[in-house]
Amino acid sequence: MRIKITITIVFIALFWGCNTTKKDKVILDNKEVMDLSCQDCNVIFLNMDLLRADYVNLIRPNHNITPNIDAFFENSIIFEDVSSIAGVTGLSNMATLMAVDGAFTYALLNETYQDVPPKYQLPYKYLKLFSSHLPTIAEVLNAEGYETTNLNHGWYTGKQMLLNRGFDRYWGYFEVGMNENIPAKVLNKTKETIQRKEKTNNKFFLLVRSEDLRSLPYQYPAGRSHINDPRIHYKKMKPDYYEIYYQRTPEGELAVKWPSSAKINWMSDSTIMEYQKLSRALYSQQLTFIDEELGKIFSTIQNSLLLDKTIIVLYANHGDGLYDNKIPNHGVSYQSCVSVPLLIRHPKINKPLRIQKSVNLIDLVPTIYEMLNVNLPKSIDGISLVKTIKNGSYDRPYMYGVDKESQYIRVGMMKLIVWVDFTKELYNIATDPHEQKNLSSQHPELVDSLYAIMINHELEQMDRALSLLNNE
Amino acid sequence: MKYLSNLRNCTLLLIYFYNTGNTSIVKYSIQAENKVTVQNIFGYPFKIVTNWGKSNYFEYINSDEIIQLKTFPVKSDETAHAFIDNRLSMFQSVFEPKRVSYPGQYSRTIECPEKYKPKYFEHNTSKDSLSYFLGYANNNKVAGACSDDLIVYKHLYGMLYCRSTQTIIEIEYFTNLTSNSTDQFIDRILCQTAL
Repeated sequence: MRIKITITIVFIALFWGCNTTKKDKVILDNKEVMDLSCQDCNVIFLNMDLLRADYVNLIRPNHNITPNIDAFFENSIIFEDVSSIAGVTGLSNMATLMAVDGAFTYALLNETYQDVPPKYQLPYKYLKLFSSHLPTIAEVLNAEGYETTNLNHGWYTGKQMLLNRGFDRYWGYFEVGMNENIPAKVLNKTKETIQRKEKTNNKFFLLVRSEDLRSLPYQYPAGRSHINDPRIHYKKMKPDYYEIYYQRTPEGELAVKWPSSAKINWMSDSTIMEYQKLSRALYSQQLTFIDEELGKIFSTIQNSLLLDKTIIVLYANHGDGLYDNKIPNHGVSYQSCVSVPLLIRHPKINKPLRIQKSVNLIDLVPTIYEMLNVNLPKSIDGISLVKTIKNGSYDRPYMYGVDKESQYIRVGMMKLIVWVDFTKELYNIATDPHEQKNLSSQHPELVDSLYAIMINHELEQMDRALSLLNNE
Repeated sequence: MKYLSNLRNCTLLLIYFYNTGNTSIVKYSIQAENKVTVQNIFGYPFKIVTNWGKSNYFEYINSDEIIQLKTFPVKSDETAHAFIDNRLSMFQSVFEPKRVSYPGQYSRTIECPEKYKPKYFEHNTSKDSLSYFLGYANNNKVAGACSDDLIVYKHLYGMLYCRSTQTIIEIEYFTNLTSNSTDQFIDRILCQTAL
């Protein structure tokens, strides 16, 4: 006799238990936390590229190179385990700003995105459809009377992804010439914008995206101290900055040509370790710079009258491999690429609220909607984290992510990665956060179960995306 | 909780957690429905390995062949074809110097000798479609082995879409390098003898 039982609840609940017992530090029964409403508050999103959660000292005290971020967000809502839906910018940002599912976003892009040089973009013919069915936070808040500004040094957060929707002012890539729109200018522009906003009483939403942590080659101010290593090539592009390359070795000009997500299996372990050390040093150098630059923005905010009426969010759309799991850059499902920081400074929060519950970055925007008392659009898949902040509850049974190289599904702390060549890797993030021990051969049934959930989810979301496009 | 509605009538999956200090060990077991169930598919007596929600997993093993099937229901033909096209083009792209799908500034370049690259085939009828790759797999049954020292199996990876039941069947077939049974297996892959 067939046992008919909806075991999924058991499955989820037990994993949930694994995730929350002992470790949860969510502050419960805190009356100060009970009210997170912030009607008509301003909202500032500081969207970082390539910022790994484990490099923000406030989140995981590994590297003491983010003093300004740590200080500004010390008395904030600090999410310790946030997954982005992708290890690449375009996918992650679309899903995050529209608060929609990763598989759905991937399917939409797969059907619409123009990937033929020089057209890397979503065709404008989809603008109306997306606006009416998949509004971004900028569109929603703009409709609520917010002044909206996008200061964007990133291709994949801008109009190329139709993410300029809803912005009254859009200052992005190519708008002022790519050589002029360097990250430092975005940050300067941010300071100016904040100072200007202070003088008006209009509520505003400001989205800032800097690509300072861009992977190699990257730009670095010429006047600043930097790592001296014969393997690093500093190419002076303009009087005020260097473009930095490295890895120019007989094994290949990796910095210039190596793809974002390929595993470097051909390198020896010792060579990988050597490059990892160098790569991390360069990343740290760059992060130190961006932290200092962010510090200037934080000072501007603190010196203004905005702090008491502004929700300030710092998040990253994805991380970077830095040679973990033999991934030099990003664009895959490993934690190095999808575990991202999420810090929310809220006017009513005056102590650190550390949330260890595993959450998804697509939950950010619904959380802001609830704080602002804005109605949620029908399209969204994100879940407001206000309840999670208050009492630790979270209603998402699993988290899904997808890149062109791999997909992942996470139930509690168990994570299955499926590569395009159908290789499957299973990790217990609780005990193996760096995904070193593949458990797939030990637990084939669990792999099959998670794979079934993943594929059925993908098919559902693909169906949803095609239905939307067919109704165009 | 909307996702849960899709995962009904599942076999009982027991998951035990043991928290020992900071270490969480997950143990689990699948309790099959009654005894082992055998189902004839493509003329082979497949064992139902798991029955997970909407998907069934089947396996058939003899001295020369390992066949694994996974079924996934779909809501429309268009979704099925889009899914299969995407899946197979992604797989193929692993062996090509350029990738074609989103997002595209970077391309993965892996050199696989031509003789080991999986070859693509399609058999379509007005109702059903079978798309598959024939290549090689390594000792761990991972597709795409590209050198003599890694190759252990001949490998078929395919997708059969049966329109009448709106079901995608993911097919993996492994056989010994000296075996000639692959063609016979392919001839048997028909929706009429599927599920």
